Amino acid sequence: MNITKKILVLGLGGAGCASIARIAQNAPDGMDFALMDCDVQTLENCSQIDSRIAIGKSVTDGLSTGGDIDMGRRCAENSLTQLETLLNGVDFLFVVVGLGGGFGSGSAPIIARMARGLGAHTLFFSILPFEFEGSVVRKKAHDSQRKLRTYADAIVQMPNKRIQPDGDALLTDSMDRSAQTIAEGVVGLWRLLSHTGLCNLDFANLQTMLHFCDATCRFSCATAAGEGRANTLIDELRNHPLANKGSIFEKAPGLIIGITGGEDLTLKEAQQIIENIAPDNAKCWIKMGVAIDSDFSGQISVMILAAEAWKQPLVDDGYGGLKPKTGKAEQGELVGVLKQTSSKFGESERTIWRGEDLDIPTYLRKKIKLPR
Amino acid sequence: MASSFITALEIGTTSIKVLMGDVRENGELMVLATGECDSRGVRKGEIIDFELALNAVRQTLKTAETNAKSLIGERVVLTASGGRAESKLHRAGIPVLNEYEEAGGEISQEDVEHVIDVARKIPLSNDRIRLHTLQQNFEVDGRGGISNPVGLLAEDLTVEMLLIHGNQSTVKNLTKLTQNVPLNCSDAAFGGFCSALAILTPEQKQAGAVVIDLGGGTTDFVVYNSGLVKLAGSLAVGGDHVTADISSGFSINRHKAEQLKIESGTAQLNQMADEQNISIPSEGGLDSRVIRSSALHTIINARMEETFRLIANQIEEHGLSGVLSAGILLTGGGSAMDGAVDLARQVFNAPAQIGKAQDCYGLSTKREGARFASVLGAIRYAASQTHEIPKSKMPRWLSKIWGSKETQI
Repeated sequence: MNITKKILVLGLGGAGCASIARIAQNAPDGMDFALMDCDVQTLENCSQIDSRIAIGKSVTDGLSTGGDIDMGRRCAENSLTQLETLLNGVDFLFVVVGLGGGFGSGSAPIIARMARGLGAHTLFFSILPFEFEGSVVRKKAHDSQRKLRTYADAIVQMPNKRIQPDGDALLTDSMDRSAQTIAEGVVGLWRLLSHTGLCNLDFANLQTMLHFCDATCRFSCATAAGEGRANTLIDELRNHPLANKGSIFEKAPGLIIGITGGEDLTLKEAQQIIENIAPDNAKCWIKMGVAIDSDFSGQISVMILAAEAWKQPLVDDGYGGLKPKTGKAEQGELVGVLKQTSSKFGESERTIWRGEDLDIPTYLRKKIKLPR
Repeated sequence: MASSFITALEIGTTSIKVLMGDVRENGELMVLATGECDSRGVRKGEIIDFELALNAVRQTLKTAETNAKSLIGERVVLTASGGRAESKLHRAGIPVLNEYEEAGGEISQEDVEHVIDVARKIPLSNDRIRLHTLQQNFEVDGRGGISNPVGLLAEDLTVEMLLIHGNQSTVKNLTKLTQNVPLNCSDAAFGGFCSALAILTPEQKQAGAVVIDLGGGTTDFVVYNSGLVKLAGSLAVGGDHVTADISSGFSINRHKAEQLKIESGTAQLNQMADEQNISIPSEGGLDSRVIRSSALHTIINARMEETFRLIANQIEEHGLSGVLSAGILLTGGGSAMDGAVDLARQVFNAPAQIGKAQDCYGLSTKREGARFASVLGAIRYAASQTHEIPKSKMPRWLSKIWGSKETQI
């Protein structure tokens, strides 16, 4: 096990906290969790997680927002220092949030924005409300999601309807099931990033995906063991509630396939899985990762992240690529000697401030996605 | 003194401003006339086309002369920033001797002048030019915060000087331009510092305030604390950058982008505001299109927040962020941007407002005060110069300590 980057899993709002509490019960060692809500009661119910942050005390006095998005936003804005302390040093932030309520919907865009500012990559698992919850709640969820897209690197949408089992399931079962689906996704992704595999899937790969995926992703995951496990696995992946009977793979312009298995994993199995899942499309960007974990001997677990769209970022003039956020001071001095000019500003000298070229639009340098 | 008015000239990136006025005995600033024209040939506060800029300056002066029904006088002061002004703190000390030339004694007026003289000789690299040398407090035998040390017993006397310096070629070329007009330009002053002179009250200087001049090509700032200028600087980022960001973000031309910025731009990103679509009419063979208002606001907000953040970081690095009780005062064209004040309040975590010219008569509206702040301040600055040193032929920015009265309250 080799964890070099800090990954934090954050539960936001009532639904987010409840999901994280369930995920944490069966989580592998080394996973960091944090909860955040303005409702003190929610946090008390999730006492198994150490890092619990009650924010917005001055706004709601420890109560919930009562479904008021604006109040949720103010809660987050009033506690910026707390947020900063939490997010400082985090390289990858997973956020589980239920949209359509007050706190989660209001604070998620603020958190995404702050994480972006601090140099963390963000992946949001957003739980969308049922249709029967009414159009007001659904509109709130929709609005919040749109705002989130500006700052989040990727959003995995999970409509409640899809992640619930069909038929007359008990409500508690149904809640368990939805938490289970989220847990598989979060833990699966975390495992791929934190374990160094044979065929490594690293941050950069995920970054490439997030850079182009236009902020929305789907995922699917499954585990299988025993005879013919590869075939079972493929079926399960296609039948995954979010996979929409496999159609998301066929249309996906970009895929990340992460396979975790024991020492007994064969090349043939890996090949079979990828051949069956990957779309018959030469343009599809596929990245495969294989990790070997002795805990998985006898079984295979696969996690797939599929992009919904594949677009060039709104403007790409070659500056938007991967480069360290802060340049070195020496760079500035060098530029002073070379006297680079910027054509946009009448060939005047470029404005280099501490290694950063301020003539490039800020939103490109900070990789802020423009709402389309 | 009231008979001879002063002309202040600002050669900015978006506009050239001329203001004629004088300072009366009671400190009131009387504006005689103003002239303003679109600037040409200037980018980021630096001249890129000498001829174009020269013509624009001449035109502006003509407008001002017509408005004033009088000619530009003898005394002309130029404000310069060039986006690369910086401040530097320098200290120097001398031993205090008594009448028998032994260490230790009463500090005399000569000692004070001597130490200021020594401190003023701050070494600068060849490509820099000093704009202002502002005296800070004295230190007597290691005890700081002394505003007037004359009469104290001491062995050592130290003084700190804040030097505001700019890029030499920028300032020299601006001066050369005014000489070609031709004008008898006596002085070049730092634009940000001038803005502060125009809008800050002594109380605000004492309490601690930041003046940010949001110009077209440059953003200047000055930080006051305990009545003294503690930090000054300039970034070659301004309203032009906002326009350029918009034009690249939506692939539209500069002119359209500027129009969009002025008509629909806001610096605040209201997470809850309703989405609006803004249509851009077709022009020159390009199709008309519709853009999202939130995308526009995101671009503007990102740029302005960054600009404020860069200034806030510098203030923090100098340990001055805790002492800004009078808050942030915005001036310059950029202060008219919707939401700029709120954004400044957020970023600096301090009260913010648009700066209003103090004790000034003859300008029509309050808005004008914020836009003309730097030229108004330049007149105050030039007027105070004549109080200190009566008529001197040598270029004053090379040899002056300004404001020993004003800066030591």
